[in-house]
Amino acid sequence: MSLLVTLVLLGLTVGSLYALFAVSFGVIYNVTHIFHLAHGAVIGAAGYLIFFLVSRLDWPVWLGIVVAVPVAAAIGAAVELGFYRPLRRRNAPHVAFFLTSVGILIVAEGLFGTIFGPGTVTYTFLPLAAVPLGPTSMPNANLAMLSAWAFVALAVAYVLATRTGRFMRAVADTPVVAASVGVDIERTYLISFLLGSALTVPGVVLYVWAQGLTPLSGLNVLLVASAAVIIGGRTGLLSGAIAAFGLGIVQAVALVFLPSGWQDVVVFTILFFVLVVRPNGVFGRAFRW
Amino acid sequence: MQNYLTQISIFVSIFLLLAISQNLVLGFGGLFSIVQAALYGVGAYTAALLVLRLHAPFPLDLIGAFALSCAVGAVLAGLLSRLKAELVIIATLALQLVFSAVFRNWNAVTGGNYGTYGIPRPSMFGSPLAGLAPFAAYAAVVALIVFAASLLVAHSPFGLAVRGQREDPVLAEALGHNGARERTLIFVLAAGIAGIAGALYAQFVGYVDPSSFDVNQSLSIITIVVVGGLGNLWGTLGAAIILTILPQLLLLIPATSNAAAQLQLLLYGLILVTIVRFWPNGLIPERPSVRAPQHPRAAPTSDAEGEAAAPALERLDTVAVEPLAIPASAVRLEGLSKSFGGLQAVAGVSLTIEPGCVTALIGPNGAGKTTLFNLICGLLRPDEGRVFFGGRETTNAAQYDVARLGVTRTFQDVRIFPQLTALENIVFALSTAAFAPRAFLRDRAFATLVDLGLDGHADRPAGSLSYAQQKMLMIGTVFARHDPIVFLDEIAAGLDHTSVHAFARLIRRLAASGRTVCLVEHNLGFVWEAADTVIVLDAGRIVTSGPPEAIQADPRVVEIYFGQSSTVVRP
Repeated sequence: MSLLVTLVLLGLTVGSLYALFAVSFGVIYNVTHIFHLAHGAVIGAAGYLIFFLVSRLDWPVWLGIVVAVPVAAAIGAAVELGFYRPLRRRNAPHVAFFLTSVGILIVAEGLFGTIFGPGTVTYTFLPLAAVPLGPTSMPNANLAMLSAWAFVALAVAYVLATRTGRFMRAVADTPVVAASVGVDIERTYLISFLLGSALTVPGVVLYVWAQGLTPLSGLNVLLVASAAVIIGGRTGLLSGAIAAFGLGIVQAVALVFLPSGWQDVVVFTILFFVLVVRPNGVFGRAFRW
Repeated sequence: MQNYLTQISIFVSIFLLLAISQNLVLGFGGLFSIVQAALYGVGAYTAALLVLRLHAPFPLDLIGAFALSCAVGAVLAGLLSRLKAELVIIATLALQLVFSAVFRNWNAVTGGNYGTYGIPRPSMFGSPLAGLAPFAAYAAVVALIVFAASLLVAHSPFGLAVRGQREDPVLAEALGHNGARERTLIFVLAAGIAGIAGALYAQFVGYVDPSSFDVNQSLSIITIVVVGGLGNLWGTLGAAIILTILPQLLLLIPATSNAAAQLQLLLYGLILVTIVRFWPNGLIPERPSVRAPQHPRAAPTSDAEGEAAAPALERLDTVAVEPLAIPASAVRLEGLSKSFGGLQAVAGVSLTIEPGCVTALIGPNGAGKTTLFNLICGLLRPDEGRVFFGGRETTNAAQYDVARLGVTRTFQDVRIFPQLTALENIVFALSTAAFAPRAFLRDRAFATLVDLGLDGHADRPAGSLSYAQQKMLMIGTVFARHDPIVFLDEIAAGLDHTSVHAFARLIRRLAASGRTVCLVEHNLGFVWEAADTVIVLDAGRIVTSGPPEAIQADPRVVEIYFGQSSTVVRP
């Protein structure tokens, strides 16, 4: 029983982190409808940049993290401006966006592996420690993951409360109508990329703190995040965050019944069958932004 | 060095098979599947386990790998067939990850992360293919047989059908093709080919581990296909050779040999991004499955294109309308209804469309004319009521089944397969007429193009023709099929006066040959000229029907069209 409790608690924390990644992917996917796999490259780049600045150049931790935010945002924006926008201008088929995204992701994986090696790097400046918690205990990194909800709340508040956020919701729902009432679609897309990419930084810090970073980490995280966004139903940021939270718990609880390693099977089997059975997501239109 | 080159050649064979598999699904079938590496893995593990656990002799391991991959492919295709194109990408990505995780973790069967070892090379004619050179020859023979077979499939009517459903599934079904079945078949075939590649890999390396079948492998295979051109198997052959050898060169350079695996990813990614960035529609175009039988007349230059279609119109009067062997049947509707949400599009329509005459459906926008067409032709299912073609009920029949009863239906505006050539468009329309030899279909299709004056454009992609030419091409499918029952949806839209008269004469000749002809039309001048019977629809109901003269005189028709009751007394 205490094992189950521990696992559920772990699931709550990992699920919170997934929720943040789902929101960072969902901002972009909901608004632009681009299945932005290259988001995994942004996640990886942010993680390796912090590692490089703090571990190699001995910058203070806070400064490394703060600097990573605009850099990550700039990389996301560069992908939009350098690749997706020209493709849109040329009316390229859907497939072209996806291939570009895939290409950027594997270029990034190749770069990370060439520069930092294929193995795991860890943030030695953020040591892992167990925090006693009543009858059980929990790694400090996992407890910190609960802070992900603060960033989720910030993102949702931005989308709900600001003028740009309103534009983003309008473009996500009906791009044609949004354009006809004067919303600058291209600018709204760009802001989505900036926001979504910046949000990867707190997420990747928590992730690497807990389990280290490999060239494939970005892809792995992104796959769960995108799965959550699609399972949630692409009706806004909250549905994806809730689905991601649920996936984190399901993954953790699955450890009771299945050996570790089968979690991917559980997550992606769920994704696949949701797509087949409920292609518009499990929540219908229950959560709007 | 010799050994090294031989080894590379074996990998070329394996990657050629994988790329063919991917191209059949993605390039020909239009299914954006990222699950090919998983099917490759299914083949590899199957071959390995058949040899190691069941001591299956060659070629049972190869056949087993092919068969099981096909079976897995069939199950996946069944599940995927319900999805929209953009969701297929994500769903197959999910499947790829599920398979990867199963390969890594199902220790009892796959050996988990450590993989399965000690797979012996196969024996052929009593002697083992232990040496590199004989194995390379065997791998090359297998790859080339599959390549040749794939070329045959690609250039067969089936290959054309697969490309057609990729371009426009609804139009493909209206022309009698069961697109879902064709998609499934090509997916299963491609899965089997990936399985063969897997078997070769297991036999050659003697060792199968999950890292060879992960999502990155799938992405590498897609890169090969994109470089070689979607729908172009020769391009795939070239790209498989180049992109297999290129990363091997990295191993030869001392500075890069340590990180060769990482650099290969980098290289593939850069190639993929560059090609898509600058040639979003691909570097190498696909090859048409049939070409014009004789050297086409020099195609007119682009600035003369507008006029090029004009002379073709006069030809409409001389196009042969083939007589019917047996008279066409009448089409009968009984109380047909259909609503979309709260909107009643068709409300209890009963009518009979008689053979040997032209029946026109008219009415304002939203009267339910096209919905009625879609109900009759099987594109939509009625909520209530029944549809009969002669004595045969087709109320719930699929669109392709209705088409196979001898029904041709055109769509509003212009609807053709833009990436198929003009000739292919007509061959496609003909090829439901079962197992006619290819040359026969080609010649008959080409004759239609000659009749319409489009023969000079036979080998051009239909999407690159002018609007008028595309419209003629669409009419060409009606002629080529010679079907006894013809439904034409707003055929006169966008035509000038001369063309409208030419089309009207043509339609009268179709009816005079005994065919059942039904029009939906907004151009009333055209209707008065072409139709024998006019049926007026409004808000999904029949308002009135009769010969054109009677309808023209009917005040209710004036009211519907001009929204003005004749009883209104104006001040």
